[in-house]
Amino acid sequence: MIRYIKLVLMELHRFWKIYAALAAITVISQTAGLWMSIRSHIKRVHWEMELTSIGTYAEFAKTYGRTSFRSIVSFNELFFMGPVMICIAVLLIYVFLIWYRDWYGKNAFVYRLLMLPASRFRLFWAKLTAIMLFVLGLVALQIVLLPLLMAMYRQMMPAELSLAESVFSYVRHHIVFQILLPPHAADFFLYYGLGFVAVTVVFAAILMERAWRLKGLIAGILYVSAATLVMTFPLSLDYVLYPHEIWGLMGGIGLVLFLASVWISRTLLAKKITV
Amino acid sequence: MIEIDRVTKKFGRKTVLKDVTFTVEKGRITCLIGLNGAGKSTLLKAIMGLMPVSRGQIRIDGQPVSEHLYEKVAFVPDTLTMPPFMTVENCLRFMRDFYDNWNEERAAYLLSFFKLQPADRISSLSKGNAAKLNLLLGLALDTDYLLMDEPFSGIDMFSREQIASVFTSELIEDRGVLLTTHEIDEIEHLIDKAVLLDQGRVIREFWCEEIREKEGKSVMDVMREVYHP
Repeated sequence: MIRYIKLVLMELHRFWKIYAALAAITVISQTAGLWMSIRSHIKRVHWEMELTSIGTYAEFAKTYGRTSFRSIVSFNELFFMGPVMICIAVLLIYVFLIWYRDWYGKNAFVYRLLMLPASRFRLFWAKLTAIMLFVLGLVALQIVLLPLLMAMYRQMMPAELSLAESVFSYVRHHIVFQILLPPHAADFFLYYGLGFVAVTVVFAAILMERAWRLKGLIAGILYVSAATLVMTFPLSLDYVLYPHEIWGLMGGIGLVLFLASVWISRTLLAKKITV
Repeated sequence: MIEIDRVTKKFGRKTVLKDVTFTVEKGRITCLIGLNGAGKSTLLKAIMGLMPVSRGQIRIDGQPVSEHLYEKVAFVPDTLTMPPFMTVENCLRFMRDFYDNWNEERAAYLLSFFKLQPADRISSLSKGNAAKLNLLLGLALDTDYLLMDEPFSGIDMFSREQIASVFTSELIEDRGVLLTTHEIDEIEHLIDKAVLLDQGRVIREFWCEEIREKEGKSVMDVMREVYHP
């Protein structure tokens, strides 16, 4: 167990600079985006007030309405969603790099990792845990950041112009955040559970490629394709099943795929892997 | 004893090892000799469980290869296998953390013997120092067997001498050593047994002392006979 934790810590350490950069980009971009949106909005309000000879914010709000956090963010949506998309893209790439990095480069670290006097399966779990922690860490950052950004919005926006909105309401109505930060625990476990299964399926495919090279690559692509088909099959039954039945079925299929991927990975690491 | 019993390895249609059979005894230095592409590195990887074999068996003290193998056998590959961002100190800590049989005292001795600086980054090490660190990581493990892949390849004369001196020291004593090389001249006097490999087959296996006494031949003489008849 201690060695597993050490392997996880090592995996975290190997990615921390890029990870810290992703976190910094998210914080800076979203904060700067919000700051610029609020500033330009207030500037526009002043300009409008001058043109229409409106004297107070209250009068302006009466005529033009108040502006919610959601609307303010939408003025500069790229600053908000850009870093989120960058984080997702980098983590998706890292799902592959976390394995291939050990094989390629000047020094093949995989020799050392495969020769550790313990089950090689720990490598699999350590890498999977690391990916999970990276994902959940960024989710946690966003969960902490949103209330802070809302506080900044309340602080910068004149009270007469602002419209009270909860983080929950903002997330629930946002096209991307409602998936990334599902407000209900059941949805959270389902979405991230399926994501977790997808990572194990990809890990199994990577190990197939590492074990049998070209043939393994073909087998891996077929495996991922078949898993995607099987996983999304219940969605085509929406005219037969209720939504909760579809999600239940997907959860069951996900569990089977997870167990299959874990078994494949374990067997390949123990018996077939090639440096 | 490491027993390699009729080991065959195929890559697609190409057979790189064919029915390879020989043994590596404890307390002896066995040298696997062959030209480039003879299958030497493949065989070492197969022994270490880093490459599955197509046929045949490998046993360490009578047991098949398993994860416990790494407590008995250390492998020094032909390149340093630590990530470039690590320092020498980081490498030693990694080994200490993950290997119960890591010998701290011996590691410290070798660090000073090879004059390696703990703060040096792997990426900044010269080829000779990388080879020395690689050897340190293998030698500082308390194992019964030590496998080395081309330990003298591509390094300067003084580093070679320093590494060669390890073979006659107590660091190697009592261990079974299997090393590969295609440059035999510098280590000929160190080895006990030679296994000559050609295109994946063992074409000759002999005790060096015996062939010197009985036939008056050196390993180089036998190699000339075998590879350039």
